Amino acid sequence: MAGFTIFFGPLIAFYAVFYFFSAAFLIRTSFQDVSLSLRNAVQVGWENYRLLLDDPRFIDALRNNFVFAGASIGAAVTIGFFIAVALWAGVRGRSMFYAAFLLPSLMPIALVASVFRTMLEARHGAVNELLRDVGLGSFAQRWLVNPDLAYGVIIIMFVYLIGLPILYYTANLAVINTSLLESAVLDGARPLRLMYGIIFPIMKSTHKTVTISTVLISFRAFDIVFFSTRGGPAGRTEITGTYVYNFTTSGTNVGFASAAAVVVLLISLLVSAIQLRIYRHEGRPR
Amino acid sequence: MSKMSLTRLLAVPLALTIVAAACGGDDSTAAAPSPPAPAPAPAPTPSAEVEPPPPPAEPAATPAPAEEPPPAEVEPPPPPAEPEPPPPPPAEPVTLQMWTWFPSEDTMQRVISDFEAKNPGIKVELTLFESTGYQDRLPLALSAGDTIDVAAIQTSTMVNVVRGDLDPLGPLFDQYASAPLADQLVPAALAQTRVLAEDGEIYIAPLGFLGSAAAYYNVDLLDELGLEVPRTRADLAAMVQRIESQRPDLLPISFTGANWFLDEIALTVTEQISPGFFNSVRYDAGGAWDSPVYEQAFEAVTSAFDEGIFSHDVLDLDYGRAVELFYSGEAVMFLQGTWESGILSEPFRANNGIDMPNVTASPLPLLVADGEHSIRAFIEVGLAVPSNSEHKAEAIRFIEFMAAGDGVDQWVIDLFASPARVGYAVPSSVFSTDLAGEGYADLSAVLSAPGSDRNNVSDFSAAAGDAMIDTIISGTPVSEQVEYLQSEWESGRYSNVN
Repeated sequence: MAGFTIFFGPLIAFYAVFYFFSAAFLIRTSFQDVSLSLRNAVQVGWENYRLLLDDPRFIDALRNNFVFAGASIGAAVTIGFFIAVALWAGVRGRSMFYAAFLLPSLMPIALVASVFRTMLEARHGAVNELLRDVGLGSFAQRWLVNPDLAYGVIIIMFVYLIGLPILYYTANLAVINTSLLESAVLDGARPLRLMYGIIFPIMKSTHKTVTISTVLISFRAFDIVFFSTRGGPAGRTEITGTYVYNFTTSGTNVGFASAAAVVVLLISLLVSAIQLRIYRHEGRPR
Repeated sequence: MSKMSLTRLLAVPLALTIVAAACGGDDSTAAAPSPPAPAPAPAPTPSAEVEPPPPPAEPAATPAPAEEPPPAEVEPPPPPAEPEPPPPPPAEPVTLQMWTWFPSEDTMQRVISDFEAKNPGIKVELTLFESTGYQDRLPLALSAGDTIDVAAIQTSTMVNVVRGDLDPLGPLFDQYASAPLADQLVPAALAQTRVLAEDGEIYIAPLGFLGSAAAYYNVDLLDELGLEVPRTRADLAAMVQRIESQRPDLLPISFTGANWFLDEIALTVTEQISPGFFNSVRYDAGGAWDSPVYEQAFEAVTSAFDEGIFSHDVLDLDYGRAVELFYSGEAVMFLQGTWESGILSEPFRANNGIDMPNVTASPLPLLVADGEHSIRAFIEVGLAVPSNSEHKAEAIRFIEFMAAGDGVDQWVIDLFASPARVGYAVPSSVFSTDLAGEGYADLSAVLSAPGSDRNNVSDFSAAAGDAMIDTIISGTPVSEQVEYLQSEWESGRYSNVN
């Protein structure tokens, strides 16, 4: 018992303070009309939730969360998987490619997003300058002003940060049973067939890990959006994180922002629970 | 323990907490949806991406346009007054803890050095925060009883957020200062200060006034292109046309296309059309966002993009980039609040390494046909004494020095605000050229008779600015947008609700 306390005590205390207390605090303030000083709170029941769910911008932000999460998952299990397998198979300059794909995930996301923003500036951004310099000025765009392009930019950034899925796949590829592949090669299977007919299915558990982690990461992708488009133009790329931030820093009722945070928390828990349930069913022996 | 039972284990306390919270906490006041408590707000921080903020204000309260024009004219320095005897030093050396987010550290250090030299025995320890972080941190620090002797307060809803932890300044000035507060600051500043607190008390001594939106010009570029400072929409259009034909490498008008600043421009235009419009909406005095005045202003700004007066390229410029383009000589004109007036000051430019010797300013050119130049203005940077300070006498001495004493000479060279000190005139030596001085005088003229208070509602400003961006990029009809904004204003989501 003493050993349990020594090893797990600090961890439990940490969770109690930073997770459970924070969640309970958020839930409590979400039913109040209260300022940042947290004084003179007024109980308002479900009013903050009513206002929140009545706000089309919040619903749009939620939808964006799911779209960006979907794009991330799609990129991770296709591009990420392909890159991981190609590198594992011994492409030349492997270390350089690893560095190129993993580096963005190791750098602060705020920095990466800020660099993207600067590069994509319409008038003096590096992308448009380059296009003009090589005679392709007609392709220069207002990347962050056109709503469709701005949406695409955010998706590209999510795709750009697929280093973590590549790491997951690489780790699993290291322990793959190569006899299956050898048999397939002897039977005349080509590389693409090997990749999608054999390796892809046997890495099912990694796909699950990648999917869960990507969904959860995309719900916390505040810095990607805030430092690139700031949720613009006109809120078109807003996600729940930027929505909550904007109301916390510019509004007067912290309870409203708390209600938004609680709804996001509940949705994240729900998504995770659904995924866990699905995997649990799949994992049962038939 | 299986995964499922773990999930259930987590779900039970979560559900219980929700139910308990919905039923009410023990330290809260009674039920019933009611006035959203005030909140923080940024300030004239040049780098702040969030809109410089809004104060709360009693909805039914009388708007607080200045009762008397704030000073801030450009005049030669007045003859030196009879030197006052230095105040007696405190019995024990005292170190004041001062928290602020503005002005810059260099400026604050100049003020503090001068104060310490003139007040032996009192030291000031400065803690300077970033704007947004400060508005989160200060209320919590004050309610937690942190040791702060002088706190700078954003002139917004922040006053109501923290006033429970502050002492009213009137009695403190009567007891410890060389003269009552009312004799040291112009009445307009005191009137706006009262509007900020729901109980009508004065908790802060504001340093000065600032307004938005204003225009700044690179005079060398204007001269090169044979242009003059534009006064009207037609002048602006002609200016842009000439710049684009003669110097297509230049951005004619630089400003951040962030939602809050587009809202600032539109609200300035409403004051050009109908001075007092913003107050009439802000203080529930009969104004509405779906009124013809706001619709006309909204249309005037968004159509300026359609007509090429404003470039779509500014829509992705953040504050810093817009400033940078102007300072680096890549833009002829720059739009921002009067807190950017430092560019007119030679010492400010020297201290900040800005190589732009010839610059001037003006009120925002008229964007509508039948209008008058105007601006919305409000007090800025209020100094307060927290109730738990143990050095209130010394704190008042510092506040008096900075807001109404010799300290003004130290910060005024940054021109971030027009001083609220009674009878103060900005020394003409601050300006390197006559044109810079004239530009500042032009701005001061509108600042001294603002159309409305710049008592912003930050969260709503973002929504209004986004509606404008939506019309600019998608062509959503203006009539739909103003109806939408009026419904948002009444929705209860924003800090206008009291």
